[in-house]
Amino acid sequence: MLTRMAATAHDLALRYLLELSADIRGALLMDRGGVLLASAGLLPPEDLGDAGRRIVDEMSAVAPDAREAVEVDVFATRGALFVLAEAAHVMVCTTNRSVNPGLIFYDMHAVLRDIDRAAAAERVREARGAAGAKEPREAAGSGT
Amino acid sequence: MSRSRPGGRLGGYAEEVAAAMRRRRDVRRPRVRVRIDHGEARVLADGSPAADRLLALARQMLDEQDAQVEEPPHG
Repeated sequence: MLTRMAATAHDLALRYLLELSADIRGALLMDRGGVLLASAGLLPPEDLGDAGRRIVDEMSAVAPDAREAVEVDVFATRGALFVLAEAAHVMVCTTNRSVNPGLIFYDMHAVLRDIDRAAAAERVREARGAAGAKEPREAAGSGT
Repeated sequence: MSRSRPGGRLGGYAEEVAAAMRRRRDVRRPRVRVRIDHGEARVLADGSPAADRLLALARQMLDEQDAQVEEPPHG
């Protein structure tokens, strides 16, 4: 039976990236361990095998002591591959060859920043929620 | 005052065409470029192991993508 699943924030972010740039044909989002979080466009996760994990390994090999961001662009005969590793995520995009790499990385940075900002906000919300759940118990405990 | 070049006008055209061909070939040549921590970008040497591995990965993903275009998923 086919079920319609709700899109995650990561899925939505990649869809937004594809809307930002018509040149981007497919996109992947992974964590720094190479675990696939989302994919969009012409890069279906089931056909990629462990390509994502190998890309993450290559990023670590190329820039082992990077502190902020690592950008890699690969221009092959049939198109281009862009990889951006920043903060907790690694984003991969495929385009045709006739693109301006600076513009592609600009859009990728923008979307990754939004994802990190949303994750930070979620952490704050969870922390507040945990504190809020703790307070009434403490208040009840102090009354007795 | 104009100066004539040794090869003449025809030689000049030939040089320009050759330079344009070289530029075109360079632009189309596969390459891998890395930029770390917003610093200067560097192009990995042709034939270096890292460049070869990244190019192979890129080719694999681009092939998967082209296969999707040729055979769009049903449903």
